[in-house]
Amino acid sequence: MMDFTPEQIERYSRHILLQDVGVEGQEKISNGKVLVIGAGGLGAPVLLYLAAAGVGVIGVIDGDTVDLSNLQRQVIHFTPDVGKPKVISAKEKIRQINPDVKVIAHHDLFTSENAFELIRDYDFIVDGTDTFPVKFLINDACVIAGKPFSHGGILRFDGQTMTHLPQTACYRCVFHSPPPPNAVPACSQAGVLGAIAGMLGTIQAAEVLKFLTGTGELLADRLLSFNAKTMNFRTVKLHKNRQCPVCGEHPVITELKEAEQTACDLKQR
Amino acid sequence: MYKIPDTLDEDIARFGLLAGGYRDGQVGAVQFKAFRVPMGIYEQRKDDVYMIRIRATGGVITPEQLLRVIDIARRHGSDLLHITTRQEIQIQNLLLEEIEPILRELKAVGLSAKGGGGNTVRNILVSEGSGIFREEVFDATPHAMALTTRLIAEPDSYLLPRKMKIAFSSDDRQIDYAAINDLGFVAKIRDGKRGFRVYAGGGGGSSPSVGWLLFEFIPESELFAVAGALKKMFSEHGNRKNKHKARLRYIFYKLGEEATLRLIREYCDEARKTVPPFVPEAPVAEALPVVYTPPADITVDSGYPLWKKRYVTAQKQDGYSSVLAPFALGNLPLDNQTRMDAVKKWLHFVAQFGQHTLRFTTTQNIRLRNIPDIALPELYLLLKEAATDIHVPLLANNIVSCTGADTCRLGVALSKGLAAAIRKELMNGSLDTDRLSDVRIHISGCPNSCGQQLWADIGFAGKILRNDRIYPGYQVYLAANRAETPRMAAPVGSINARDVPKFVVKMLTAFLEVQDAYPSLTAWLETEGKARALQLIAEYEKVPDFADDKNYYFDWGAETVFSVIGRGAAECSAGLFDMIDLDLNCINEHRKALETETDRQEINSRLYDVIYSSSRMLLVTRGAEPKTTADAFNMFLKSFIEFGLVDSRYRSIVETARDARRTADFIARRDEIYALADAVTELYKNMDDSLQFKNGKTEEEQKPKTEKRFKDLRGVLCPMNFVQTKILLAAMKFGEDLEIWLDDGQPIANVPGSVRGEGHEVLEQIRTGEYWKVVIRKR
Repeated sequence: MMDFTPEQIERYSRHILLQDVGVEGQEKISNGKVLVIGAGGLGAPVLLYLAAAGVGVIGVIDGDTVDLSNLQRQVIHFTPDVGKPKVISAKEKIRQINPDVKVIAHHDLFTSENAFELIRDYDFIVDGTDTFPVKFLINDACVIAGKPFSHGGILRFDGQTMTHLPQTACYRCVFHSPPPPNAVPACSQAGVLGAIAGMLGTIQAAEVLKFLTGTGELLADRLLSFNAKTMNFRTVKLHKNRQCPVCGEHPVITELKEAEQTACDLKQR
Repeated sequence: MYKIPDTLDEDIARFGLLAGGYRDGQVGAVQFKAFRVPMGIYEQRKDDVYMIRIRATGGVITPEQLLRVIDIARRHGSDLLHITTRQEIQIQNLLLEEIEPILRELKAVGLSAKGGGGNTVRNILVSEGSGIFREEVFDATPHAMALTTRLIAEPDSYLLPRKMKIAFSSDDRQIDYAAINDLGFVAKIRDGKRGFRVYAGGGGGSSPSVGWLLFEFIPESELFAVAGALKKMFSEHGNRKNKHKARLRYIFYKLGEEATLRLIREYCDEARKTVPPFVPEAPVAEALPVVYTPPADITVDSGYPLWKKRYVTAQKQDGYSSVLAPFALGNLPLDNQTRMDAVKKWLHFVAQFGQHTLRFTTTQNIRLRNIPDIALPELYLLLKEAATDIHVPLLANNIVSCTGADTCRLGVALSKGLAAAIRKELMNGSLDTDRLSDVRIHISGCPNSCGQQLWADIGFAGKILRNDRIYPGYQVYLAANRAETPRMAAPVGSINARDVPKFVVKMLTAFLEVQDAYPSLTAWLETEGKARALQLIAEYEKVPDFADDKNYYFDWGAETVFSVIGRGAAECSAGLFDMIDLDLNCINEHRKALETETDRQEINSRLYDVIYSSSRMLLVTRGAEPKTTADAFNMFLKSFIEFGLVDSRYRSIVETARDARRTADFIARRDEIYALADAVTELYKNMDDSLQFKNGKTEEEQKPKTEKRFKDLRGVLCPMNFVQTKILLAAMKFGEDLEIWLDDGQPIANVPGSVRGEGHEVLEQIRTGEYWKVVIRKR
């Protein structure tokens, strides 16, 4: 058993008090390694809560810099951070929240070239990206590498999330392939209510903590979606698709292909 | 007003430094408290919430000052002002960082909190009618003011063995608090010269006493000398080792009346040589009469005449009146904007009649004075607008209660709940309470005297009563004499809490029937009234079984069944000894009866009762509260016999009593039963104040050996104590035992339950002195 310092015991006391977490669970959290892809609307709350919870190693990858238009929902970045690489801004905040956490920051895009190497050392991956091709890339990489991950997406007033574990339905089982370019608007075109980034991101963070501690029922083989206007939440039962191109009986995707980058934002990077 | 000493700025600055240091962890809590409390700043029941107690000699405050206090309090985040029974006002619910700026702002308007707490000269009381009531000898307010100014400037006033309370009475036929303070001055005129009769050593707390008559008369010039002498004598002879035996009266108990009075008089003789005389200032000509023309369009409603009758008193100054503005339980909430505006409005209105228009009263209200009679209708409308309780009889607004068990650790009963219930009963009934407006009803939640039940016409102090279960009750006190020959109210018996309001109304109804035949309520209460009270107490003695009427087992305003578990250790003792004595008396009565009893069945039954009382008697000291007869026997077996406090040879007789009840044959085992009773009684005799048994194991011996894991979690607050427990359990093997020590109160109320909630087994939970020993088996 690892030895928590008195400060750590106090810091994590509200976790330790939980019967389903306890000392053992906190120990698992503290030994956990999680990669968060994207330090934007979803990544921000995920990173903040994982940091606060004391996840041992948090990797974060994002090629962007902080833009003034990000601040409406990407709550890990503050006004003085505008122009700063998002991963640097995020790392600074995490250190302030919880010095126990080790942060590995990659100021880079998540691509077919670096995907396997990036996810290799992590126990769990969080998709906090905003483009369909990358979401599929993350799915494919995790399925092939046998890594669990949380998918999340938000648009306007809607959010959806699912958790993939090896052997459970993957993102492609449900959504076969990315929609054609421009068929679905991106946030930057359609807009998004800032707070739903928090709503969905914290659900993803909770899934990570449940996964690390082995507590409760994950959103595996389930898709949760909500609409913030009506505040209706629903979960749909999912089934593994035998025809799935990546995890089906006869997979056709066996290696990663470069995702077609349909730029999410109108602004040029 | 009193004059603020020059040193106050320095004190406030020092307070600020210490407070900052305390916040940063540089200054320890004890060191900070030692400076904070004598500055009049108390931490409230909730951690990190503070209260400032502002000195107001004789309750005097100007309307401008009170308006400023309201303003300051609101700006610094307080939501409540509270008028105390010592004629002060408190700003409550403050954060620490607000205190220093508030003290500075208060000083700017001539107010100080220093000496509001701790071992200091506390706020000096003056009769609320001093200077205006027709019956008085002379106005003692200037004397109290001058004495305050003098004493608060002397450094040794803050370094006494214990607090020192001083009171002035302007009316020698209504001595009141002057008789139950450490030092009391009663206005008196001899040979045309002003002076005082002086009492010393009075007090209402533990071992209460009215003051001893120190001087039949001193001229007013000797005021400073006598007060200074008493302070010095107290400082040099008071008990500084035991704060529970430190008040001035304990010197009387120790040295005897004669020797103590002689000693004080010696100090006085000495002081007269050096202390400057009190010289009355030329009375400031208050702008009396104020020329006031009320607006023409004032129309009062039909409630006005009754209000005037109840709340308005004509002053000795013709054309002026005094008005009582009631505040329920002394509270002036600041969070209701409309009400605040209305209160400020009447304060502004009163301000135009001069500075000497307000006094806080010992009944926790505000007495307005120097109001021109022609302004009364307007004042009535303003008070009404402020939603003060001016439509209820005065008696209902004069009930004094301490805060009671809902916020006081020491409380047994919910005194505020009872006050509200009495109030309701008084107002619902047909009783003509307006003929009783002088009646004083005082309630304390425990045998301590914060509600001043010893100074009441009818007083109550919370206690625990029991039949098969425990239920809330009160010790009844009757007939304090606050008039000419001071005497504390005397206990006459106990009554269940539920029936107290009915008791009060029946008593007062009985008095009204014969009111004309008696000179005073006190006179009636001493004679016929006492008989009536005893009769009523007897009538109310039997309470219904729990199954028939649960109301009797709930305290007033409580939502759960009355219990002593989880109460603070200090006071639990108060009620606790009552409970123990009850069983002890039972045992003694049965044994006495058994000496002559011949009926075999009766003998057997009484012997069973002796076993039962012996088993139950000391359970309360272990925090155990049996719900059934079998419970009592089982708990005794577990907590006393298994724990080695009572010899195991008594196990069989207790088990027989448990299993066979009265059907077993106890006659042959009489000696054994008596020996059991003696063993328990002996144990009780050897119990110390912290409920430790001397012939039990000592603390050191109780510390478990290595085979059991152990952690002392005393001083660790919830929920960290449970967190620590979980961490220890996490490192243990299935089936291993862990012993932890927990504080009383929240910790013992929460941790064992939480441990069980996680599936572990709690093997033992035993009160040991002021803490609890809990043994857990990991599951």
